[in-house]
Amino acid sequence: MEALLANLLTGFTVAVTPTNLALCLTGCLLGTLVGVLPGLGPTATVAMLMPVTFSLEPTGALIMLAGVFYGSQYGGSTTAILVNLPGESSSVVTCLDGHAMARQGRAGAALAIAALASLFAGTVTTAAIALGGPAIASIALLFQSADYVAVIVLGLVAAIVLAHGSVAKAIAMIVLGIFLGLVGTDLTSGEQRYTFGIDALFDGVGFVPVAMGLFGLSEVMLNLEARAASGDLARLRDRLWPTRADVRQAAPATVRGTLLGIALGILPGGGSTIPSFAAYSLEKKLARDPARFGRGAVEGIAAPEAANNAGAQAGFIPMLALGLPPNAIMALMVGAMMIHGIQPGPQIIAKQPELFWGLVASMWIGNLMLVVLNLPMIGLWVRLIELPYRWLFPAIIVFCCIGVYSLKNAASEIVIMAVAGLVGYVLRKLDCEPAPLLLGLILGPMLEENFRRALSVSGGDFSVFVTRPISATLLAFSAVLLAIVLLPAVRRGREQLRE
Amino acid sequence: MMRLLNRDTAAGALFAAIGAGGLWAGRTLNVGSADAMGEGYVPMLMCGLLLMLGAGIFAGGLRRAAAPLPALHWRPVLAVTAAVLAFAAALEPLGVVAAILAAALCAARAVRGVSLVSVLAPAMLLAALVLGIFVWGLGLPLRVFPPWLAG
Repeated sequence: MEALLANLLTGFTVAVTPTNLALCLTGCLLGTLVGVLPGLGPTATVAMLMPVTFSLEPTGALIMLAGVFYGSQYGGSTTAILVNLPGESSSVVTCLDGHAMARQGRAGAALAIAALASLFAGTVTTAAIALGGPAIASIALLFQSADYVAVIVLGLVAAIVLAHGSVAKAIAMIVLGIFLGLVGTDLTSGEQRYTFGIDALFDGVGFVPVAMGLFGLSEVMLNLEARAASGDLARLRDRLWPTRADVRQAAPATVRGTLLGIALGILPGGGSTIPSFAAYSLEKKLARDPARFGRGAVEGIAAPEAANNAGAQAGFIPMLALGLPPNAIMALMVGAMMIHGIQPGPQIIAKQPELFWGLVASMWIGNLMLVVLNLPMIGLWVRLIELPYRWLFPAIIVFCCIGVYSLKNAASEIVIMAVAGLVGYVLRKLDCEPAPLLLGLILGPMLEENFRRALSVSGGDFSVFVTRPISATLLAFSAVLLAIVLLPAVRRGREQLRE
Repeated sequence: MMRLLNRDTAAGALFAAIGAGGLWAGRTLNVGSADAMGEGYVPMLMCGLLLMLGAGIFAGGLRRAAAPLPALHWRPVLAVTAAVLAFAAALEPLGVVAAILAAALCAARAVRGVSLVSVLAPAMLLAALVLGIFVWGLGLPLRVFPPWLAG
């Protein structure tokens, strides 16, 4: 306990330096600014703004990126409530009751509840990261190559479990991602693989251009074709603060949503979508009068908002403690760390305590900032939402291009992004979700390296994966998870959820 | 014919084709053995897996009625891709202002009924924004104007 307090003190000392506070604030504001724009979810926002942080020192860069991340989530729920246009699947549920409240002229109260529920969830989750991160990392320090293979497999399996729709397509997307991750120079033999003599591919396919293409550009394409169905903007007429009765109803729902969010979000592949759906249906089951849901029930905003915030932030636990990104956004964060020369993994907490604890502390500060700063700024965000998309999307395209270019100052990266955008559009049209591909792309090289090393140490004996207790347990767990999703009943349920 | 083409068969065929292409393109890579893997071991494993998964998804699409192929709207797709490629082509030789203009003109084709002239003013505004934030604010090393103009 004392060690924890000392660590948190270290963290706050790092987080409250004027530079880091300013970076946290800038990140939150930029994230909200972009996240508020209809059709830009947190993943695309983080991908687009990542290059802005390249020139910073690592801790500051991560603090700012984390700010961008929860800012964009917050912005997404604002848009969901006011315009009924969810930026990403995690705010779909918020639309239901949030927009209903907004249409009753209670948009201010709905926004305030969403913000306060998110703040509560953020606070609890930050504490969970502070407690859970080091504990998991200390176990992870015992890991050998075979165990890493098993953890990565578990992460990938969980990504399959939690993706929507067809299991086979999700697996294929992961394998495709791993394959793309292998393109480039093989570090062991120095041989070129699948580079076809193109210089730009010698260092491999960068995940930033791929992520921006898959999430940014293909999103723009899909939005442009869906433009006809634009939402109706609710007006802000009332006072901002929720009534006492609202708070009484929202408080227990927030607590339940938070706990559910952390539990689900810590699982690899968790993210924020599943928690928010799960929290909504839980509240509906618990409610005395479920008919209120969908007509502006306060719990219907508080619980999913708390759950998606908690879920999204809990993803930092496996990311920071194991170096394993559980979802696409964390994959981007891992990528950002690598660009700054930090290899994410269990040794980070011990070796770079200022980084880990500074990030944890700044997350809490960032959550607070969002509430304090954004509630008064809602009027400005509304103006932004009113910008017509045909003005907006050229700007999104240009920002994506500049961001990708600035990575290596190479125009070839922009071309890779264009190809990824095209491929992403086609795959999404064929009901193949892009997130597993990105996860495979990031984990692919790590998987290959550990797979090779484990088998080289064991002399080519594959039983090494089942004789080491850690690895055997993790693989058994993966197998059980995979078996469950393949059960016919569960499979039908998944495919219906997609509708 | 209707049954043959749906989202599952198309996705399956795509995955299988990539897997097969990967096996073919990587045929010269050294596979090695499990205890001393060459650079081709894991790629071959993944491509083989992709080929099998693709074939399985394809077969599944034939067996049961999967969702029909969606309508593809090529207009926005091509316009967005063209905008990005135009930006990439113009950035280094002509500078960021010209690249933004080129991208905006291409992007304008995504929406029916938007005249090319009407995007000029917003494009210039965007260029000013980019110069302010990225070039002067963040100091990104971007060429602003064509070299012959900058003299």
